[in-house]
Amino acid sequence: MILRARRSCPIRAAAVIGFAFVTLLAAVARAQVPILPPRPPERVVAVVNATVLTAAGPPIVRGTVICKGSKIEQVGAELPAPAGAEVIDARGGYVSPGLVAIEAAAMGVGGTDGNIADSLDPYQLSLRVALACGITTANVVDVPFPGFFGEEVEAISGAGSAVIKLTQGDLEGMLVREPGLNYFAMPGRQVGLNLFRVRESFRKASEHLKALREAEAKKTQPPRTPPELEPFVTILQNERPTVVTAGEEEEVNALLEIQREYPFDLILSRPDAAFGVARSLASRRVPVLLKARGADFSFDFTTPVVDEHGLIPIRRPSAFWELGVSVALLPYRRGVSLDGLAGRDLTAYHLEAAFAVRGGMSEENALEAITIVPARLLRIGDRVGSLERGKDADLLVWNRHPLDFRAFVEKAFINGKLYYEREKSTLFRGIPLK
Amino acid sequence: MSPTGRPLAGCFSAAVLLASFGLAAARAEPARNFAILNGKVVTVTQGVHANGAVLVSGGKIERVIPEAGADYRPAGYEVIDARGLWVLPGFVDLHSHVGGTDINDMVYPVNPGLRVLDNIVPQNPLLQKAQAGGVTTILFIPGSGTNMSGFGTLMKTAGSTIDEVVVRFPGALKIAQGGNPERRGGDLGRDRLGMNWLIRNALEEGKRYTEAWDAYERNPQSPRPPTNPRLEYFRGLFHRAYPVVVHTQGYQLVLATIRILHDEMKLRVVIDHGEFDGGELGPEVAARGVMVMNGPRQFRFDNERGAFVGTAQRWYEGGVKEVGVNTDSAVVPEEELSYQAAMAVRFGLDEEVALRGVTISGARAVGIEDRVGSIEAGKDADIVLWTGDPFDVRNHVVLTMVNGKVAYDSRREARRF
Amino acid sequence: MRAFSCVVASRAAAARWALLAAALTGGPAGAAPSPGDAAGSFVAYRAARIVARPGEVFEPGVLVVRGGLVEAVQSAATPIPPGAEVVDLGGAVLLPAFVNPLSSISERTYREGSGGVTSIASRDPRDARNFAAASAVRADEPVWRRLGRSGYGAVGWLPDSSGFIAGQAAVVRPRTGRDTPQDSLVLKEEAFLLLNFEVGKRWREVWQGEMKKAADAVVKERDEKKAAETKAAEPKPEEKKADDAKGEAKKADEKPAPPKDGEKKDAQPSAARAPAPAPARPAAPPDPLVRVLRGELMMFLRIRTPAAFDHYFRIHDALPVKPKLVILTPPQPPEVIDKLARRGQSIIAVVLEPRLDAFWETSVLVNSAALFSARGIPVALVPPADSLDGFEGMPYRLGEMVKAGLSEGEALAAATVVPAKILGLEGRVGQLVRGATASFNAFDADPLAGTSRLSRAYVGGVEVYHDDLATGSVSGEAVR
Repeated sequence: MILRARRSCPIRAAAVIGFAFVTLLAAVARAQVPILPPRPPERVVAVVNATVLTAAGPPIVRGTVICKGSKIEQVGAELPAPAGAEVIDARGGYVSPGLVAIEAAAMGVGGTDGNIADSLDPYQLSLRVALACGITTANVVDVPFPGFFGEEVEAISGAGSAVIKLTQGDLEGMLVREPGLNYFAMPGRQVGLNLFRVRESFRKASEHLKALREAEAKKTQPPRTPPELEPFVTILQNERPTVVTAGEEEEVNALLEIQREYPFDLILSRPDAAFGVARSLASRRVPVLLKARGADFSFDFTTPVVDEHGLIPIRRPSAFWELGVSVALLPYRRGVSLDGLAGRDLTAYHLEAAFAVRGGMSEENALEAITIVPARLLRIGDRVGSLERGKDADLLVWNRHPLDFRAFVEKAFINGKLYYEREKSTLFRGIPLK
Repeated sequence: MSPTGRPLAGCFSAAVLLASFGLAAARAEPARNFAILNGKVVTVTQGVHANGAVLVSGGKIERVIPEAGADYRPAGYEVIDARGLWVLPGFVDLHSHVGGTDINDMVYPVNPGLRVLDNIVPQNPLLQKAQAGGVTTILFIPGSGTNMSGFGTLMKTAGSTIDEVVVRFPGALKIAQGGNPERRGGDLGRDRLGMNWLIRNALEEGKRYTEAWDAYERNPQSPRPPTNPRLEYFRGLFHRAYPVVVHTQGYQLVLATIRILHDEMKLRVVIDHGEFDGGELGPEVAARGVMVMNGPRQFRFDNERGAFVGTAQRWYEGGVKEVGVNTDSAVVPEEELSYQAAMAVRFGLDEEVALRGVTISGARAVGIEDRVGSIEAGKDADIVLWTGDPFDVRNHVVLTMVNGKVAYDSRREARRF
Repeated sequence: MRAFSCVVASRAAAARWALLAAALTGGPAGAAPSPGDAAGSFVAYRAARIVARPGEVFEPGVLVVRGGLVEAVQSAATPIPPGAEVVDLGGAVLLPAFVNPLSSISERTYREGSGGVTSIASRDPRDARNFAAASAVRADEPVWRRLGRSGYGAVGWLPDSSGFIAGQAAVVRPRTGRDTPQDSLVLKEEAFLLLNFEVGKRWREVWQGEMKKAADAVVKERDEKKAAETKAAEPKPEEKKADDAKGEAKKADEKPAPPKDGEKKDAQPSAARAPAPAPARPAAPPDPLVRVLRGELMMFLRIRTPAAFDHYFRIHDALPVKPKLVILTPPQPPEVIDKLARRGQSIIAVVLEPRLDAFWETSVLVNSAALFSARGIPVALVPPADSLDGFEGMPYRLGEMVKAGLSEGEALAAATVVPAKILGLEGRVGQLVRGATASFNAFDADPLAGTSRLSRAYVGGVEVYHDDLATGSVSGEAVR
């Protein structure tokens, strides 16, 4: 306890009063500080001494990336850093665009209650870990993440999704767009009968959409959309592409038929057994989402190793790509798993590209499949996905080539702001780098 | 997916037919001589030869020639061109469940009489993929559904009959210390008290059986003890002819393993998981000479510090200088053993240690280092050609040779991995 | 003098001993009579150390109480006013009774109420803004009597603290045994309005909708007032606006809209108090949310997660009139504390539990209370559990907080003067100053320094709890 008895003393009193006055002044001065954090000034950052993988051309050796504010200003070989710029020396490492995860689950969201935007959580651990592993933009889908032992669940029709940037600690700038993509689940095994129903639904939705548009043009009361038609109307409104999972050739063909009759932007997910229709997909410009590897826990002793097209999972991405189909790689598992199984979840997204290379893809194309292609599919290819002038300054500094199994992200920038530094974060700074 | 591999199914039936009729035809194929030339030979135990040659005959490695020269062409040997490729020994995985089907019989709490030998399915699709992952030897063990699930077999991933693939049976006893065999039913074995009892009781029984037979063999005049197929394989176990591989992880459980199995029962022990914070027991484990095949989890997230920790590296730091990795296939597909090692390296383990960990260390742990685990004259010709560093995910296997026979050649058949 | 030995210094004290003996032998079950009688009693308590308030210590000291209120606190050297009955508490350390900013303690939960109040989650954004806790206090319930043994003299009380607006909390004191049926335990009605913010669409919509409505109403009031003032400034003494007549708006001008700052209740030309033009209508109870935004009613806001803060302040920043907040929150990592500290103007105080928490970003235990204090935000502490046992454990917890970096003065203030202030009872509870309620505790040792025992508790000058540390027997209204 502070032992201080009261005493009266004029000088002391004056000193106390004087001190109080000064404190008051300081408090008033502090009160002038605005309530909101100030907008960051247009700072200039130059990352130098790196091999720059732009995803928009060949690698640039001894390259420099200059960012101004939240945008990329310039990318080139041996550019001089502008005066006053904060210079970051990559020390011979690599610079790449931030990775764009076409699908992620259970990340950046603290429980959904109607939408994702109001439940965003930029402090979540899985978000921080994903950022530390190179993911700067992700399409978060409202599906449960079953973790290591569980079966991954496909998104149901109408599943919610949102495109977010992994701006850890900052809610501002986190949401890019909600919804991210439309999701539609093809009906199950009895393809014939259910296909009829699906066709019928698309037909009715198409008519309903026509009616909606007429009502809008004539400024009359629009007809109410029956709830069972809503997913189909949303798809045909085509404000964003629709992801449909279809693994077999039969399913894919049926889907393409529907799409021909009722046009919408389709993204085909996991056409693992449908390589036979790859040429149709290419000519119809239907992009695909593919995993570069098989699956865990597969005690399948009957299915032959190589399928009828001579393909195995790691070869699929390159096989589709070679036929002109746009391929975006899916993460091995959509979420971040901390239970110990290394390299088998969202954090190994850059290594999925390495597996695609193992399967025959070029390194450049594989990097595109986890950056600019997903960005384009998400309709944000003008903003992210490659290191080009005018795009968002979302970039990664790596200690090694990002497809190297020993590669770690040293620094991650989003919108020109440094959000992650390996040496300052507890996550990976204890790992002796190779 | 609809199975379309009819030719392969045909192969299965043929093999079964041949084996069951005891026809030696499939085994009587004469061994061919091979010369693997112009590759970077990584022997694991005797250095790296930038342009070495490996001669194979009679199913064995005949000779390793360190600097063979670009024009070296030995007569009588078929050439396998390894230009631009790395030549490595086949990998060894001591925790595999893909040698065949049916790995967990869980009626009794302990099952020392069971053996995964007769249920081997040679050349099954999972093994074919394993070959394309550079894995040539596996310890095929029963699962961890019970505390003692049976004896496993050391086998090659290529070969058409069981006899052809078996390297040694018993390969090892499989004990699951905990973390799966917990019975839900309320009988003994619901928690560690019961499970430790089951393990110790069964081992004690086996020990007495062994001692009885040892006594009889020293003095053949004495009465012959009864034969008990349930306990028969304990004899080799207590003679330390083969080890016990233990599904054990976490500090407390690993401690129980080394105290009971190594200290009390004096067995050869291989820790076949060792994950979570088991690595904190490095000094104790190292002091006992117990080996660790770490995995499949290669990292641990330390919640208190918010840090990723490499589990294999932790063992190494604690003094366990020979650390391997496993897949626990098909938890992780067998062909991704090299990826597991890559992850161990990523999280801190020295790359050379990791390479030994999937080759000679595993072989030594189960006592077959005279046959596999490195490229040395006299060992089995289990040789794999890679496009480069096997841990670099971008590289792949070009050719796999097992027992001197080419089991997989991606230059002549479709890629399997 | 560590051991508590009571020096029999007066006849009253002797009488006390007699009755205590009687109570021990199963005598009449009644409150241990104390020399302090609510009306008219005049007692001087002498103790080895009296902490009147943080930073003001008398060692030894005398606390003079008259009629249940503190008349003076002085050094023992100062002569005791004549006529006062002297009670020598020996080696005791006297502290003001603690003040709890928020509790939902009830007859059902006071024994084992689980966690503290800062982490309570709300599922539904229910709106109970007109619920007044004062009307729900049942003074006859034993919990209010037993509260006397906890060391707390005042509690901000709301039976159900969940929902968008949980209701208007009241400050309640323990029952003394000398209360008449007319005496209310409520020290202050409508002490604060408690709100919760949770993440999610429903919550955002409710918050945006209701706060905007209330803020718009306040803006409208101000505009009307401004319009009326400019009109009044013109040389025509016209009728004033309706807000005089119906007593709707008191003019506490709060917001730092720079040009209009600092105006208090204006002296309007009383000549212009013409009858309102609007027809007489029944007075609607003033919307508590509007009163909050006017600055007339304190607002406590519970926010539990870092993300929730970000979502809340988005709504907050968009309001034309922003509330000033007392924030209830569990321990937060330094980056969140930093963000809140930069909003210091909007935050009156922070209510925390006396907990240290580990955040993996820091990998050390974080003392949120010390960090907030260091950034100039006053901290009030609630007990670690919302039960009487939790209340009683507060001194120990305060000691732990001191060991972990909070200063003794801050720790004591967090349990006394800061809660008193945010409950609107500054100078009445939480400190021993002239005019304050004579609610205080006597410990056998410095309660913040380690182990100590509460030997006596007084509420309004009445002893409600007495633990004879020598014999181990307890007595008093709180434990009968």
